[in-house]
Amino acid sequence: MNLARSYEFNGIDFGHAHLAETLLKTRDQAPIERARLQVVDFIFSSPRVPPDEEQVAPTFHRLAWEVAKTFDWAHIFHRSLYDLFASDVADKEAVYRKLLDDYLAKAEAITPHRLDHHTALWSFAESKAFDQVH
Amino acid sequence: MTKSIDRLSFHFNGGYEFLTGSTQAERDGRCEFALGASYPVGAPTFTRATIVTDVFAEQPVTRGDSTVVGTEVGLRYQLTPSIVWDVGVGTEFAGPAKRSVFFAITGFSFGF
Repeated sequence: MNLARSYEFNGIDFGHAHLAETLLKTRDQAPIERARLQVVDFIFSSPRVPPDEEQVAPTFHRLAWEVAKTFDWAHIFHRSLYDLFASDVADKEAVYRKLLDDYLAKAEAITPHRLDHHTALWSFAESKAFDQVH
Repeated sequence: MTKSIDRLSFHFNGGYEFLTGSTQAERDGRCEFALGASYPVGAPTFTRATIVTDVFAEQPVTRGDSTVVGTEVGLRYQLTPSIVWDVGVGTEFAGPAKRSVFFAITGFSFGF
């Protein structure tokens, strides 16, 4: 995989975990903003080594371990896809289908149903907060 | 067995080591126990280094000798996505006279 992209994924993985942990513990703006800035700094530091997400977000991984597993499988799937796209495999479509089938077969993988962004998902008070602020 | 409180983890490990080539005065196996703790230094923004410390007890190889009891402290550092470096120092503060008053150990783990 392209190294720069790989490092960026390390940063984004950290962002998911750190923000999940922070939002699970508080709704105060100051720590949330501090966590957001730490995520931005971390992403731009181009981390060579993937963060240990269980240490980044210990409460999240113990309290919402099924969601954490969903993130883990999504991360693995994303990285596998980008690795495939960057490779010189002849039949990428076939490999993509295989990766997708394997991913969707995982019990903890996210549902194959379409995300309902405009009703259920965005019906929560905090759902559009990031979108509105940024 | 591990119990974690936030990022601080406590560990209890028990094991049995099979020893070959033992003489009649020596055991052909011994029990080992360790009670330890670990903490990632710098988390959440830095999770590559973990401090580890423990107290351990090992049955001596020679029958009739007293149990070796010691303590050690070490660092586990992730060098690359697939290589981890471990380094530690310790002392065996109780046990037979030939116990190690000071020891140091280091090694690498490779993921593949």
